[in-house]
Amino acid sequence: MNPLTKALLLSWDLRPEVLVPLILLAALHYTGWLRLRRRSDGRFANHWRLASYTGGILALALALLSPIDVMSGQLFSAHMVQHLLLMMVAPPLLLLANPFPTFLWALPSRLRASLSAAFRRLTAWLARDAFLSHGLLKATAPSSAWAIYVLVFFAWHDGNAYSLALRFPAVHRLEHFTFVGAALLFWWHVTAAAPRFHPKPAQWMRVAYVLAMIPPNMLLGVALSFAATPIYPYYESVPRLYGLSVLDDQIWGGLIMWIPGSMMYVIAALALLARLLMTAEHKAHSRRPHPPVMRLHNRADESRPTAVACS
Amino acid sequence: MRNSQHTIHTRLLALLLLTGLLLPSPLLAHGGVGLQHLNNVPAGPFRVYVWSDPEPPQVGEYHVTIALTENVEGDATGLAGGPVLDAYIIVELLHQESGATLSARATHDDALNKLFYEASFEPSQKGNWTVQVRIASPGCGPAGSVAAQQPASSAPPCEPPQVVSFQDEILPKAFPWQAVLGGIISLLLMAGAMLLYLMTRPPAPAESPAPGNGQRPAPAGGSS
Repeated sequence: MNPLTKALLLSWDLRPEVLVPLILLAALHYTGWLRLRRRSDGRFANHWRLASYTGGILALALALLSPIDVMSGQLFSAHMVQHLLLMMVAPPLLLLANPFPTFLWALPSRLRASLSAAFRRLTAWLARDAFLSHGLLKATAPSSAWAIYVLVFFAWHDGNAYSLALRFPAVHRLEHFTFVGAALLFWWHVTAAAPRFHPKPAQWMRVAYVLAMIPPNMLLGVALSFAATPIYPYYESVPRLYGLSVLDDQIWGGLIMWIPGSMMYVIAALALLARLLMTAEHKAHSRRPHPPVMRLHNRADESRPTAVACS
Repeated sequence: MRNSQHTIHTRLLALLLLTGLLLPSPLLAHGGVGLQHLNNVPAGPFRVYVWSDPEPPQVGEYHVTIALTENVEGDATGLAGGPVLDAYIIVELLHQESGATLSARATHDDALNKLFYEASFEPSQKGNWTVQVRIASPGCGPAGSVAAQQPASSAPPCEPPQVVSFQDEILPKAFPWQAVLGGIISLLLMAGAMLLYLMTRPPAPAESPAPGNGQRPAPAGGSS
């Protein structure tokens, strides 16, 4: 193997302060999932949800512990892969599993009951017409979540903010917190995961909501790919890899943001559309009246079998 | 029985709290490798990049990170060369006031990014230090030693080690204000959660007054 590639693949950063919480989160979810599965018919604790949650945890681990994280200080394109994992892969996968009820089921019954009661009270308080609760609901509503997501996404890719994040670890941490926080808020409305404090948006609204993220994402990707000069001067102060110049690396980073990034939203929209169509078909089936039962003497050919239908 | 149940609940609650407190830590990031002192500096067959960490440097902990690339002839940008991964590097710290020296070999083992070399020190004195980095070509052994200059008969002769240096000021140990700030923020968050809990707590049910003889409700339909 190429020594450069070998050295890169060995650059894992298994920080305990990252590993331990990830393992704890996984353990909490799996305990709840097993309990819920034993007590239910598997509708709420199915294998899809388990796979989705595991995928989310693995995406987080890949973004924060693997060579992708280490290389993000040297290659802009690797950093864009990290952002993609943190904003567009891990949050939807984690939320698709609807982890909140599963977390509750991991707890002893008394604790579970008191936590559920606390959340019910929180929901009731949010429904009150008070200034604080009203403001909190507005701030986390789908439209605000979309705006926050776009704002965070653009703000951190500004040349100055990005350079600051690369220069100072504390700013980089803040960047990751805001990325994941904003992404969880955005995907929370898309996946309709619990706990829900807002009315559940209609399926077609959710499709439109996800598709509305494609133009800003494309805009940033195109801007990065077609920039004539390097936007992030930090990368001029580190050794280049594989003969990739700073500008070429920026073009690749922009393309990653543009094409695979937009694809994530397209995939989410297609999944929602498929679900919408399935629901519509199911409704149509359930509403369709039974075919009229033909009397034997009205049938053209009485020898042919007829469908057994109730009269 | 009741006591043991209570203990289990307390432990579980502590575990939950710990998870909650640690929850944001998976998002911790690297940032950079520290403060850059040398950027793409030509040194014989190499181009050298050097950083120091932590920032600002403090008594008790000092790391020097080095990256090497090939110095390609005719390359004006200095970015054409690939990384050099098998050089032998010694880092030496010289305290300017007292003349004390510290020396360590920079290796990939200590570096997070295995393309880089890192040497770690525990300087005990504050003040100005000269940091000298001696780089021997791959296969040329300990940098600076005479024996290192005697390569195997078939190999090309070793060039003298390349030396680059810079000055850095190591400060006395500072008050851990970042940890204190983190603690204050955590406390504020917990206070916020507590406040939210108290605000959403249902009011205690009002005690119903003891029924008195004179306060009996009228039977449905009214009384005559």
